[in-house]
Amino acid sequence: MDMNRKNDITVDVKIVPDDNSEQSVNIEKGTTYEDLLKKLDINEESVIVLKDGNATPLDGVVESGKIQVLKITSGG
Amino acid sequence: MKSLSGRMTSMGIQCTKCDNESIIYQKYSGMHLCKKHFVEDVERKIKLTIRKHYNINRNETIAIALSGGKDSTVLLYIINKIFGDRPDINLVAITIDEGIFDYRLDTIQKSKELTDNLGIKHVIRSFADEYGMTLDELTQKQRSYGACSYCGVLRKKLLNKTAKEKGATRLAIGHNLDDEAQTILLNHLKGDVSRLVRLDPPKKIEGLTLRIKPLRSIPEKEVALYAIVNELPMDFSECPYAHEAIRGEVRDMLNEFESKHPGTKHSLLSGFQKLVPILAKEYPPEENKLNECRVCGDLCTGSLCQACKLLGYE
Repeated sequence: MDMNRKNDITVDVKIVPDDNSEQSVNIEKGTTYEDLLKKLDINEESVIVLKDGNATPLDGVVESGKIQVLKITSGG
Repeated sequence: MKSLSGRMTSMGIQCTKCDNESIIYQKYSGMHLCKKHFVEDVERKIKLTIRKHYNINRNETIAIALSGGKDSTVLLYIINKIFGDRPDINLVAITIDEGIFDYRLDTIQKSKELTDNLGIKHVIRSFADEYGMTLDELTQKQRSYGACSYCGVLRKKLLNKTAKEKGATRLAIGHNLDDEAQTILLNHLKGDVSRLVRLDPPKKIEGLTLRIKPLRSIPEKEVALYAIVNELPMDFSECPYAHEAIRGEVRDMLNEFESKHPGTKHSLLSGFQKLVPILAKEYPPEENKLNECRVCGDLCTGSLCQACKLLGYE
C-alpha cells in the first residue's frame, strides 16, 4: 500500500456554512470532484464546489489547492 | 478512471460553446458551460418559461415575493433585467417578516440591499402587525401542525393581500426546479390529486393574483451559481424550522435519484405538465365552490379559511 502513497495528493476542504473548519483529505491522483464528494458523503446536487474561489465543473480532476464546498440550502 | 466528456485546457475543462474554461457541467444536457454561456443559458430558459406559460401584457404590475434568500434574489434580479426598462410595466417587491428569531432580520437586510441597489419599490409586512403574533409565538402555543404549515399558509395569505393592495396583476414566486419536482412528488406520495392540479391551475382563479414561477425550469444549484457569479447580495442561512418538514426527505431522495439518473427532475416536471390538463377535467380547481371566509372574507372552500383555522378561530 505504501507504494501507492506517492500517487496520492492532499487537498484542504472546507464545507460552508456547516462547519467552518478545514479538513485535509487524501485522494488518489486523477480523482474527480464528483468522486471527492462521494467520499465525503455529500450529494452533488446539494452543493457548489469552489476551487480557489471559482466554481468548477464536478467531472474535472481535483488538483491541489483550496476547495470550498458550498451547501445550498433553500431559503424562503 | 472516468473519461472526461469535455476538452481539457491548461486550466480545466473547456466550455462546449467557446474556448473559455467551464464553471459547470450540466449532466442532464451533457454541456460544459463557461460563466458567460451559463448566464445566457439560465436567462434564455427563464425568458422561455415566461413567454410559454405566462403571457405578460402591457400595463401590468408584477409583485415579486422577496425573502432575501438566493431564489427570490435571483428572481427579482432577472425580472428587473427583463422588464426593468419597460415604462408600461411596474415592479414591486414584497417581503414578509414572519418573526423568526435570528433568521429573518438578516434576510430582510439582504433584501433591502438588493431593492436599494436596483431602485425597486419595496413593501415589508409582518405577521406581528397583520395577525398580532409572530411565527415564533404561534409555534410556541399548543399546535397541531408543523411550523411550515403555519408559515406557508399565513405568508401566502399576506403576500396575496399585499399584492392586491398594490394593484399587482401577477405575483412572482422564486420556486425553482427542485421545489417544483419536490412538490409534485410529495403530492403523489400523499395521493393528493386536487392539490397537484392546484399547483399549476389551467385557469385564473377569481379573487387571487395570478402566480407566476419564472425559475421553475432552473435547478436549485444553478440558481445558486447564478447568484454567485453575478455577486448578488443574498443570505445562505437556513430557516431554523426547516428540519421539521417532510420535504427534506423528498429532497434527499430526489437528489439521490438525480445524481444517478440525470434529468429526473426535468422529467417529473414535464410529465406533470402533460398530466395537469387531463387531471383538471376530473378534478377542476375549486373556483366554482369558493365561499367567503366568515372571519376574514377571503375566498376559500369551506366556511372558514385555512389561515383563520390556524390562527385559532372556530
